[in-house]
Amino acid sequence: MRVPLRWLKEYVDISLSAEELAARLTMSGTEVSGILRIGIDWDRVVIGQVESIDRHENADNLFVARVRLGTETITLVTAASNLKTGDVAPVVRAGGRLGGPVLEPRRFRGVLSEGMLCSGDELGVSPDKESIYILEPSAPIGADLREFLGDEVLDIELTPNRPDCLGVVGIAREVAALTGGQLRVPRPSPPAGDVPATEVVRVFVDDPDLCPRYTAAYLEGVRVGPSPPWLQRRLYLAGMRPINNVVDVTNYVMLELGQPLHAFDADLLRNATIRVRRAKKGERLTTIDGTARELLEDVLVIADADAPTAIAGVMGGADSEISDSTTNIVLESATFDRLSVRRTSRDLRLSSEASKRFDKGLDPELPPLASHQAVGLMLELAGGRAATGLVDVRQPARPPRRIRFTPRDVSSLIGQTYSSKEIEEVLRPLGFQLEPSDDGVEATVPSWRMDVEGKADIAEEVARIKGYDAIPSVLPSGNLPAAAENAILRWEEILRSALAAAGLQEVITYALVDPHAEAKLDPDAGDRLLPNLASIPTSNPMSVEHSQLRTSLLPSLFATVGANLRYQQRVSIFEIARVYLPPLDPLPTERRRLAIAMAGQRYPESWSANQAPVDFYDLKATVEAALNTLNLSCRTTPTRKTQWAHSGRAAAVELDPGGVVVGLVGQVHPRVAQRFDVEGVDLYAADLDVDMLLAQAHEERTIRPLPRYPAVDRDLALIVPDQVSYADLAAAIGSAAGPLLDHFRLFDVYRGAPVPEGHRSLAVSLAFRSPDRTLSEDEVVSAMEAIEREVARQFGAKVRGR
Amino acid sequence: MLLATIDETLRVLAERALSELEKARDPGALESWRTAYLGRRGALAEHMRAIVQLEPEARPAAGQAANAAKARLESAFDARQRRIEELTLDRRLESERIDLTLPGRPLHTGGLHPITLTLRRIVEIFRDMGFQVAEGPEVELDWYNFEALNIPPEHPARDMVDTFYVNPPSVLLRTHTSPVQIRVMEQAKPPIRVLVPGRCYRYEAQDASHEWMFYQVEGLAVDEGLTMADLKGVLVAFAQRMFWPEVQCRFRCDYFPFVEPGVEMSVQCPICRGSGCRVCKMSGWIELLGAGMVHPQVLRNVDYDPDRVHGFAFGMGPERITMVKHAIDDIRLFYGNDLRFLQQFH
Repeated sequence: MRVPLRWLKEYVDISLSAEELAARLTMSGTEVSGILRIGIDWDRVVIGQVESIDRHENADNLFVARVRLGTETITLVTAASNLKTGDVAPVVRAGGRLGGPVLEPRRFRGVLSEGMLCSGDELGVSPDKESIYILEPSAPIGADLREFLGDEVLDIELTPNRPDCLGVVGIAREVAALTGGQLRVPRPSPPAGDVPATEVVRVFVDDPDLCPRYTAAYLEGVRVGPSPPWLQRRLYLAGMRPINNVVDVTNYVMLELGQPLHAFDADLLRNATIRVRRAKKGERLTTIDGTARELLEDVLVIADADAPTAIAGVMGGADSEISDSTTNIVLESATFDRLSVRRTSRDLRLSSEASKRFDKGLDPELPPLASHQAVGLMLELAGGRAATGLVDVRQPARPPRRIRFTPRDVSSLIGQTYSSKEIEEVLRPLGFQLEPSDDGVEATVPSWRMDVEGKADIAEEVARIKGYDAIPSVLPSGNLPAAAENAILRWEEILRSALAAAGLQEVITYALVDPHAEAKLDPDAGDRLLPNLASIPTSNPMSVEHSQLRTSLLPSLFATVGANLRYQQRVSIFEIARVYLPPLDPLPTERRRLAIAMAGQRYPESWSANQAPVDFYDLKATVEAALNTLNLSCRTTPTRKTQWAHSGRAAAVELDPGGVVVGLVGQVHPRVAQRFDVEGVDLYAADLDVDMLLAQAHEERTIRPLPRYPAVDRDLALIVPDQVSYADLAAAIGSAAGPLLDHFRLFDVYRGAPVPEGHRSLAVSLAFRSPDRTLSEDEVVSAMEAIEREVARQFGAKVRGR
Repeated sequence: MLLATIDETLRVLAERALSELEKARDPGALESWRTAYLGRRGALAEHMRAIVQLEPEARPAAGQAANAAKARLESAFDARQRRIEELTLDRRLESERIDLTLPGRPLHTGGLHPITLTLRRIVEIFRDMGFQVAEGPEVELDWYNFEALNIPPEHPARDMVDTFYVNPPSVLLRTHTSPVQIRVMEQAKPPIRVLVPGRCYRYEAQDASHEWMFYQVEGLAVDEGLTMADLKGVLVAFAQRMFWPEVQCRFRCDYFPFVEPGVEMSVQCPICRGSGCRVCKMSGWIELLGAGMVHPQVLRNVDYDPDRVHGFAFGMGPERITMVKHAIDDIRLFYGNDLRFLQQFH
């Protein structure tokens, strides 16, 4: 909302500068997001009166005006054609400026212009760019225009709990409470005429649930015409366009008091009847924006005896709109149910200054006040006669809310002590009535403060007006909750760190994905991908690409790899995030998963690295290292049961011991990789159930003492057929070696001559050791022979070179 | 041979030996010298044998002189040998010069996402103040996300956040981590101090300062006797550790339906430290988080007695904190996952 300071000062004394006032308002919850300054950069802009205006002798489209500026009179050349002798208008004198460059005296076809006349748009006080701005005749000739017209407009962003501040008077109350400035709230009297309004207009409220109060005033014999300049300026500075005096008054009073009003041409209402009712099936209405609208059955309308003539609280109808020929007026000032207005406004995609106020909830005590204020202004500006009083159809008034509290209630919530006097200084200007009660104070909440419900609200009023900065900062001294730790979250962070330490970059990708994203993981899907019906869609997606809750992290990670390979030789990434699995019961199952994707070079780019592309064993080492930090070990068991993987390069990850399958590792099928723009390099991925891993994570790890006796090292190269897996070979070595084998590791895998076709050589380095003595050569030889016999028996393995 | 002659011969021999020793420049030459003078068949040994030829009374003096000369030559040899070792090492080191300005070999390390790093820092700071980490579902019931937080259907505050809905519409993607307040309070009794990091979703068009998916960290404390002064104290302590120890904080009134009174905290801009810059739009201040005392209705919704216990709550965005700390001007960089951005946080 935009609040011109000159207008605000009508209701409250202000001695602060606009900046100081803006800061105080902002700190107290009424956020001033900007200050528009009208006239701040004007220099030598004065008020002049046209003494004569003539056509330029040498130019058809120019006029020469003699303009009096107090004691002197100057000559001006202008292209605008709206000036008349006697008009009062703003003049920039030569050497002065309107914010832009300094105005030089200039000759137009032989006539020297000693200044420039200004349009309303140039001054920022009206939208009119074409004509010279005509000031009211009362403007002081020769005076500095800034003194007369300059203003500062506060741009205020209100929170939805304060519809009472949607009028200048509401802001004035805040200012009075904040500064102690004297408050002057308008208290207009009901119109007094010859006939009671109730005899001229009939009002029926058929649906009082949606319209707690409807008032109608009546004026006859008004003359519709333009509003005076001061009124037009205020409307414009507050962000509305002037229309005509009647409509302008309704808008003016709305901006002043926060109560929307609507004026009907009384002669266009059949039977002088207002009927507030829900629309009937098939009814239509053309609103004043010129749009013909079909009305849904539960939309609240203002109808005459026959048909809708306005959408209640949202917009009036074109048929009964005020026009230049209007003479008699029915003035509506009503309270509509905020939910009804909100739904109607949303369903019709039609929002107005009125609907924006009604849908926050307005004070049912406000309509008569606003009506009286508007009737008074209309009589002043448009003439005519008003009927006496109002037609007022209302639900029983709700009793005012009363809140009992003590200063202690305030201080115990705020942590700062306020005296009764301080509390009173805050609450009275805001409209609260205070009475002493048994053990404290009883505050009667003003009808417009529907947000104030209890003691906490009273405490906020005191704290915010006195300033939050006055409240001390202390660290809580109370009890701490029992020490507890979320072990799952702790392990999750340990896992993250381990993956980063293993050389992977963490990414965070969107949880909403394209319905087809997961079908891309199927190598056999073909070109026409099917949407994933087993995932949960959002009912109002912003785009198809982000419309469905994902059930796998892999598509997002693969797309990230593809995008980054355009700039990087090496993309090794992971994400730990949730997937969302149907059915809804009432919520889906959210499971944490870990996805890893690796492609491109093994090492960061460097001048010295021995580069090679990543492969399965890089991925496997990463997974093993990550599990190791959770004190878990795993086996990789070849599997063909994966949707997305290369048929010969995919393995289930099984916890060891236990054998629980926690996920898959493997090379991504090239057709799948290609769908994510990963081409020319192999893509490797892992997809693991993190909830399973974290549930198994533990801290038990027994550390062995350092050995006291030396190990005897032996190397053994075994030639085995290709189909023998290392895992099987290793298991055989381990069981055949007996207790003296301390550990062994694979150090070479070789294929090619002299190893026969279809075979490979697997070379292991074995370390034998006894905990209590130095081993003899015989003991080691016999263990080695046992190994050789066993692998020969199981796999036909031959010792290489023998 | 006369004693005088033999002395003279020794003197000449020693002088020649010393002068030749000076010319030895490498271990080979040094060894030749040692053979020639100190070896078993060397000049000094030969001289010793000549002494045997002297009359018996002259032998002790000549022998003494010869031993002294031998000791002198041996000590000169040791000195020369040390010197040559030094020179040899010097020459080797000189030949081993490298280009010290070549870049270091890149480590094979990865890194955490900047939001993870910020979340960890936030969690660490609040953990020191007794807050324990909790979590809740991202797909949430309307009751927890709105109603229990004092935001009934059609409440104007629902206009403040646009929501992604699932079918049925009572299920939605949480728009903040505040619903976990309710879930925590349903499960536990005061005193409560929890911190809830997590993903949230809002139906918002993306631009440089808006994302439809983002993280939030919610804090909640409930206890007897808690006040807004405690809330301020906790948040100031947080800002002083998150930013710098002298950072100034500003608290103003704001509105969130689930707190009363409501608070918005700003801190001095960490980039310009309050003097005004691009990041703080010349204001010197950064709006950092929303907070307040837990609304009595929210406490009643979980069967707490608002006359007996008070609570405070706050919610902050790690994206915003990361952006102001590192002068990042586009929030979309976080979930765009361009490694050229992410790797700058290593």
